[in-house]
Amino acid sequence: MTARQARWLLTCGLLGLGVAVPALISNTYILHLLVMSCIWAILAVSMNLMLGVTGLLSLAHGALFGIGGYTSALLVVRTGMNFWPALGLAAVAGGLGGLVIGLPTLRTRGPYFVISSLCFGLVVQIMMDKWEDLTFGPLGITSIPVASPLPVPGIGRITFESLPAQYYLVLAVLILAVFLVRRVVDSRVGRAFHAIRVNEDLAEALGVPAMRLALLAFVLSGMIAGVAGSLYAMYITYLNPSDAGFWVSLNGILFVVVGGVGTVAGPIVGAFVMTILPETFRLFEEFRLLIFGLLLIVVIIFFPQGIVGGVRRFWRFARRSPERTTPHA
Amino acid sequence: MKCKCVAVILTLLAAITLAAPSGVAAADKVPFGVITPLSGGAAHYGTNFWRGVQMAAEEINKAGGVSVGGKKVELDPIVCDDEFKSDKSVNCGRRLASMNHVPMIMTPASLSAFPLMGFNEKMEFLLMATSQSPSFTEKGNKLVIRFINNVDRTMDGWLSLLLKQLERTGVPSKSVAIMEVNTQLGKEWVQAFEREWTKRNRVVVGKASYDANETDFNAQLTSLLSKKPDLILLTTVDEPSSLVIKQARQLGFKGTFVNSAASSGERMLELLPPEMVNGTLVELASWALNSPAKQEFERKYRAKYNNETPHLIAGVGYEGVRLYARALDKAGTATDAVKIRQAFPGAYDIPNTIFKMSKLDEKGDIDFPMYLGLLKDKKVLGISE
Amino acid sequence: MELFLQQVANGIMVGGVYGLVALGLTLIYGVLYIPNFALGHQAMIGAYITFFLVSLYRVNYFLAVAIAMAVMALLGVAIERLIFRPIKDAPHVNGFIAAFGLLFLLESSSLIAWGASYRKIETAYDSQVLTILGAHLPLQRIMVVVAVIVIFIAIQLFLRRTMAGAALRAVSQQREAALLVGIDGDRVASLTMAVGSALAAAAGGLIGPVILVFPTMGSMLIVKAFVIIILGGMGSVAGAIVGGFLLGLVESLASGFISPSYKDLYAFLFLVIVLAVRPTGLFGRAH
Repeated sequence: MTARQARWLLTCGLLGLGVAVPALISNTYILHLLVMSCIWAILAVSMNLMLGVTGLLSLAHGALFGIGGYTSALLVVRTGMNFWPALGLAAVAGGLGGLVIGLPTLRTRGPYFVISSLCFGLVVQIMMDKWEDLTFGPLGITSIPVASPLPVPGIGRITFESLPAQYYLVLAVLILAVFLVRRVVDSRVGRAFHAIRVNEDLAEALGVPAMRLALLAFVLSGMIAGVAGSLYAMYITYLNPSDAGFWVSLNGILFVVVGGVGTVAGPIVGAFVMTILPETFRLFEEFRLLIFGLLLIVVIIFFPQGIVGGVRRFWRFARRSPERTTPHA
Repeated sequence: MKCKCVAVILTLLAAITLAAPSGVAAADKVPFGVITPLSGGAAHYGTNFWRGVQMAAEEINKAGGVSVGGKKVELDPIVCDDEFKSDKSVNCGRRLASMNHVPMIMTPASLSAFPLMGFNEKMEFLLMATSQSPSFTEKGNKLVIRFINNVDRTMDGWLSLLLKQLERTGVPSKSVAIMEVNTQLGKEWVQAFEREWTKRNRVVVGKASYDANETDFNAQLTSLLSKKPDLILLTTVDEPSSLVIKQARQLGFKGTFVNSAASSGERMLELLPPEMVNGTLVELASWALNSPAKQEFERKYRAKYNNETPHLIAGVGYEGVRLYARALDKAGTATDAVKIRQAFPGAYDIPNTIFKMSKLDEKGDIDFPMYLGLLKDKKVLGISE
Repeated sequence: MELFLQQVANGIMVGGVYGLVALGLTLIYGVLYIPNFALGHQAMIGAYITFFLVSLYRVNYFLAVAIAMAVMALLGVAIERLIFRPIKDAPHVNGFIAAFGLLFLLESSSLIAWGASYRKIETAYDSQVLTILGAHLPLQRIMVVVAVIVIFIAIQLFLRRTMAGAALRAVSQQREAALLVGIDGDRVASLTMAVGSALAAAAGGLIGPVILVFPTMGSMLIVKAFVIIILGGMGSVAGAIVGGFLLGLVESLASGFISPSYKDLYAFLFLVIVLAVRPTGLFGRAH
């Protein structure tokens, strides 16, 4: 079996497992964690597009996540709009936010970009907090309804009241997001993103319009982050300004880096591991944060390329054999 | 892509760990959940609440436990740190409901409580929260109990009490400057206050908002003080409040401070010299009246926790558990949340409570009168009329 | 006018603290490229050390701060060796992650060891308030400003008049070249972390009496410190100090004349505007 076939098999197997999960697991706590993992994975996928593919560490994506969440929640709660168009508008809002934030911040690079994106994110969070007429400020938005029923030709209507239904929804969006990003990465645009990450000046010299492409990456990832925020708001049913805050961006970066920057599986692995693992530490509630901090340090020292990178290294190590001293023809 | 193996393996491992019964309830232990911030900016507040809960549970268990349906059972409070974040609160709630099968969850904060309302009826657990936020009981949720005051209901009476006291002591009170903490509770409290304040033809000369984790308020205070208010309204727990008081005094403010029930006053006395804090008036539950029950509670708390002063929220947690135990007794079940809720109104006949509370209505609100606490010469004097 | 003076005084007093943390950070970030988000928490540990020395052992306040600085310097060396050195060749974002791991570690340790209650450092200076031209200036806060200036001079002397300082500057300007001429990069790294950590401890010990000591006291400080070093230019010592005071002034004056409700907004908005006009910050060199 070739590596490619193995990969296909694994992907199909995992997808099958993912779909079968609600039938296998009835424990609502675990199902809930899987839903949260999927939502965070969508955010991580968006941030990986920025960090892993285009090489830009943005700390503003928590704000874009929040913008998406607030957009759809406010539309649904205040105007009674159906969830699905609201979700679409959340994506648009996230993308717009990416544009507005990207334009000024992308004039800088390196640590300047990081901090200026952080500041923008904080400005957005503070605005969410203060613009009470629009967002209810610190009161937050309560009783956000679940996704409206979706009419499907032939089957009838799918409702999303139950936990398994919500799980399938976020899983489907996650798969869609991964697929979308994959398509972008494999396209010319994606290669240009990659060129920017490797050596921006060289890319520019070769005719790649770095600024415009970086902005495009920001907008695309902003749209995906906005969708994640919208799903989060719908699922948790309560949204407040801290959900647009720095800690969301921080979590996103943790997921991406711990999982494996720049890889396809990395952000997903990172999101799942970092959502589920700290929960297992609840047995030692008082020391939970301590263990988490220690683990983070240890992981980043011994797995600089994240979990996925580490697994790859191990794979290569395991596969090398004495006979293979000459490359295959 | 092979690395998705890792995701699967880790998820399965985690699933096995999680599925393993954590703290399997012994036949005579009845669990209930406590979701509270034990880390992060609200750690002090959340820890106080948890300590109060633990103290009550231990005392009850030592005295033989609760009798439920003829059998004696022990209370088993299970704590979960939500880091004062809504999604972690949901994690905690889901975990407690599915893994520990708790029929009740208590929480001291609106931020933790509201997300839980999304699924507490579905998962059949009673939600007891100390949220002063009016909307907590306005959502039609049948399994919520508020065990503190609803600020909309108590503000009118309390404000009259406040103004009477100020008049009595000759303190000018025509204008107020508001330092509003940017939490849900802070906002709703100020909304209620402003409503009643302006009804009485008094003026709000300025409002500034701040984050409870901040430490420097000079910028806001200088601006507010330039409008020469008679009173400054604080709206948060003792520690940041005492910083506001200190900085305002250092900027030359000579007027009086007023604080909401988020503060219990005692800590402010410890952190500030008398000349800065004397005359401050705090909204207090009957905690202020320094009943024998409250003194007893304080004595026990200090003995257990290194002579630290308990925050009012510790007392609320303590009382909440005692109420719950009584409700279990009356309901005759420790697993049916609906029956427990129905039995709750009858649970208020406990003698010697720290707080005065009564008359639980169908929405989940109780009568929880609020009084004044006057900080003077290192003491909190309760004022009830 | 009196109002304006008070706002200016507020801005300078709060800017002094910001500047102190920013100074430590600019050295660490500017020389080592380590985005040490945990520095605010290191300041917190310094404040706790000061608190325990003063309240438990009755040590003189200034001596306590000095001891806290020394202890933190050693801790800084340990942190550099154990955490940041192993990842020095990895992408910078890894340093970011490691710093947060350290932050959680420090915060949870102090929560477990000392609890969440706020602690008060009793000093004689905190209750005295000077009034100059109508503006009220608490003595403790003036001391912070004085300390900042003294430390700034000391650091400048260190950087320009000592061999160690020269080595530090060399590494920050041109790392490879410095290594080529035989400067020991690892020792410079340890030294930089030591000095930066000591500065953070000083900030914590000096501001502790004013704002009380508690586990999350450093959280906002570090964010503002990052803003300042970008404003002032990474690696620029003068930039950190001037940037600190500037940020304090912006916050204070904007709160006074625009609205006090948006205090935090002004700092971040200011940076956004400055960077839009000058992408390398006010004093920064182009990288």
